[in-house]
Amino acid sequence: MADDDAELLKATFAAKDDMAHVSFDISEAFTTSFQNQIKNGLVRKAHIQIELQDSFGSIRTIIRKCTFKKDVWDEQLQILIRDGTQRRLFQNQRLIAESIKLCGQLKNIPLAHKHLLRAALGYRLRVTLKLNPVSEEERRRARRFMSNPNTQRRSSTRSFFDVLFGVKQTYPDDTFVFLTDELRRPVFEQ
Amino acid sequence: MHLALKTTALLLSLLSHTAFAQPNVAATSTATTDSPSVLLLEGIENPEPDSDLTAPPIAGSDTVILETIEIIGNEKTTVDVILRRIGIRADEVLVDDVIEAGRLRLLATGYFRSVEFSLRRGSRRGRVILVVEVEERNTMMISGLYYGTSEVENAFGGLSLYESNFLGEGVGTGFGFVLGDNRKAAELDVFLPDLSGTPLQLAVSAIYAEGEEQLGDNIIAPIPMKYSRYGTQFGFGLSTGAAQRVLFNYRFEAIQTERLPNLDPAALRSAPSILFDDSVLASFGLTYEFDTRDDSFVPLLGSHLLLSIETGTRLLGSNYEFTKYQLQFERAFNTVSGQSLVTSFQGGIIQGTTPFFNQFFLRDHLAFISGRASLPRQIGLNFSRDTDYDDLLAHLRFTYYVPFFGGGDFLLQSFIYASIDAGVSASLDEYQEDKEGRGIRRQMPLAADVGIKFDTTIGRFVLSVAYISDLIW
Repeated sequence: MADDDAELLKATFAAKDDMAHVSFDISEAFTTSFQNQIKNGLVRKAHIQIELQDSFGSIRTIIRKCTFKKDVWDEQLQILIRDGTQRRLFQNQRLIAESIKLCGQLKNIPLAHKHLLRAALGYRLRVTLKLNPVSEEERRRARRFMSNPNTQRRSSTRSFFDVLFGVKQTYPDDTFVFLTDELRRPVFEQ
Repeated sequence: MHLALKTTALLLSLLSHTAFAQPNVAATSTATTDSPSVLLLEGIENPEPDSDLTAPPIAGSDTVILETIEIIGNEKTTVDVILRRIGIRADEVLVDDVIEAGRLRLLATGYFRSVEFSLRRGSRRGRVILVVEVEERNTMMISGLYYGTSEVENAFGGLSLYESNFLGEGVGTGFGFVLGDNRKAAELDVFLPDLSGTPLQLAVSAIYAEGEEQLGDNIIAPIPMKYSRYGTQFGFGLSTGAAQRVLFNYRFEAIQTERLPNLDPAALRSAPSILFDDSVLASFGLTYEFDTRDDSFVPLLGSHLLLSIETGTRLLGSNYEFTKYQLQFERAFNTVSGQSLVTSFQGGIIQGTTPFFNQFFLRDHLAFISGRASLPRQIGLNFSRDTDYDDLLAHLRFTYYVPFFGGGDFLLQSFIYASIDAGVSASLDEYQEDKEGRGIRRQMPLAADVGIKFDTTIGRFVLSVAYISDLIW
């Protein structure tokens, strides 16, 4: 998805110790369909990629991975949130909306060391939310050849209405991209 | 006491789970009641690369048994076909990764517009029911649509249809025909992507064709060479890994060719390769295919490799002894905002003698260029005067795709494309005698095309300016 299609994101960019921290909320972007899937009791995943950019390109990228699971017997939700090497397991949640906020609200996430931030301004956050991401390996494993390559009517690649048999394989991995306005370098204490 | 036991069980369950069974885990819990709680797990030095694929444990239970599978929404597709594709059985332990993989496999069939899984409580605690809800899509597609005029036929036309889920049994069935004044052909094929739930595939096809090739340089009174073909192919495929397969194929065709009158030896030498009267083409083929493209119609990413070898031998009863090697490779690059550059290469070589309809025909591949006819064959029939069937082929194409409309109920997506290609073909015998070869000497090797590709609910269409130009000039 190009940045032209990105939604505007409001984020705060603040200093704490020697690190620049970011905070923002994209929990509204978790679709109703995704929430219903959580309600249905199967494991659902969301990946949030946070990329700090300056005018020259990407400075640092981190990924938050969230896994949701509802126990159909207890009607309780568990959410595993993984930020780098840190994992937090939230248990006994009952409201899906609240669980989504645990994942989609990012507060004071350490993103970049102050040495990486040389310019006074011109920083942007590019955030990509993937709901139910399907990896390339998973796609490959799911594939099955559905036709014979040796039949002659498909051997010619050209005709007036060249019609190819095939059905686009659609996987429900919704992706949403957000981009902030330009951000100033946070003020670090000396 | 009860609450304390429950919390202990929860922690044991948590720590026994593979995602958390790390030696350096230090878990602290704030959970003492049924209220929301958080466990902070830190100090994990070697986290799993993508360990969130593994679900959090279910509180108070190590395993959940899948009691039964309910399928709803399938009006045509049989339950057996769906269960075979999901690959999950009742009374087995529920593994979330396996469930999700089953859902993706079901989507990958192309039989369904959507597939949703959900869980319901089973007959007792620890047992659940998997509900599979599908929305079917049209699986009868137009796979070929041909019509036109040419210097040898006032008009010709044809149609091919492919039903990928015949009678809801998950069997692909295709039929196609093309008709002209002096030429006709039909082809039928059946393909089983899952043979009784095994990784084996089965392919059977049959072809019937009555054709005519025109000999000599005299356009007003050409010499017709009439022939007919009745053939069949049996093949079975074997999945050899993710997105890979090997296909074994046996081909048998009975050919009848009318004898030509006494001709100038030069004209006879230029006649397409075939034995007069009755002959048999019997061959054994081996094809390897590796396809990681996200879509075969307009790929944005991935590549496709096809290697094949076909051998005709007297041991199989063939009158033609030959070996045909082919290589096809396609690679897609996602450039910007849904646009893609697709490069493709096709090459081949034939050693020995095979009937002309099994040889390479440059017109099948090369697009239009002014001053050079380039009508391709349809279901193996040649509707042009050109009889340049060759044993060597090399063809390279670059195509750029730009999406411009889509998302409707009927028109799913469409792309404008522009392509440029270069191709040569040559006869092996001629090449050995004349280094320029037939293709290089007589045909401009460069060509170009622009057009529109449509992906609709009834088929995928390409409106090609090059082909229209071929028909006009």
